[in-house]
Amino acid sequence: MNTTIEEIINRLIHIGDMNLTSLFFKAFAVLLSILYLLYTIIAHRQTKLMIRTLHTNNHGVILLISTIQIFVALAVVALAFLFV
Amino acid sequence: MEPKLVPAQRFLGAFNVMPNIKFESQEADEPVILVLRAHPVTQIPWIFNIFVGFIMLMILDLILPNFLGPNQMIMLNIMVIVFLLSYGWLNFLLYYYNVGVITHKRVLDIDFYSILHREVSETRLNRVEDITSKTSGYFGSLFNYGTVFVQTAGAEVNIEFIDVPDPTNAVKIINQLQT
Repeated sequence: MNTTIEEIINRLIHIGDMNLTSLFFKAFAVLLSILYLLYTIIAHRQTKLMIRTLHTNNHGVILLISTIQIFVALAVVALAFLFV
Repeated sequence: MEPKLVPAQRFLGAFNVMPNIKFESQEADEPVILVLRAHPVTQIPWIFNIFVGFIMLMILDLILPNFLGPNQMIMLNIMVIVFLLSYGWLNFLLYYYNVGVITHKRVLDIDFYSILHREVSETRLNRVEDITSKTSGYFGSLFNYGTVFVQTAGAEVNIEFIDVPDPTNAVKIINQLQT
């Protein structure tokens, strides 16, 4: 059972055959991408607050870009886990 | 008596007369007369930072392949590009939503200092004692931008619109609304 979980984790983060530099790079990429994801979620909430405070004609586009930013951040997190 | 104003947008949307904009605490019979943002020229530093960031990335792309693998290089490029674009987007939002709003009843200053801090100051036009504009510096004189100070009576908050375009005209409009 434990071996299976280890295999899954190893497959997910590919650290089995990594040297120290690669491991450091991956940890750095994962940490930064997660922080970036948190930032985009906060930025999205703040953008909604900004739109409520000042309602302009462009609010739809602004909210759309802020939402796209969250999906980009999710993609970056996935890439950091699976691609590096 | 309200001044006769024609809807207009100048300085890339930094000086808006009678714009179609609403704000949170707006009353039903309170049309927005003037919306002021910082002059677009004052946004050049962060645009320049992004430009420098992309040049730095190109330099890194020449040096780092000797030390990092192809996957790591692609990931590094993606992350730097995403961060630079987000930095630009954040600065644009702060520029776009940091505004001064003037209605025929009130003067409001809406400030977002960072992604987490919001400050809205407002005063009634009949509480305004003095309005002054100050243009200083080489760029301020060249591009016609400066700071508008709205001083209020008693302990009420004073309002500043920093680096707004055509400050003299803004003061003129506020003065016309007062009379």
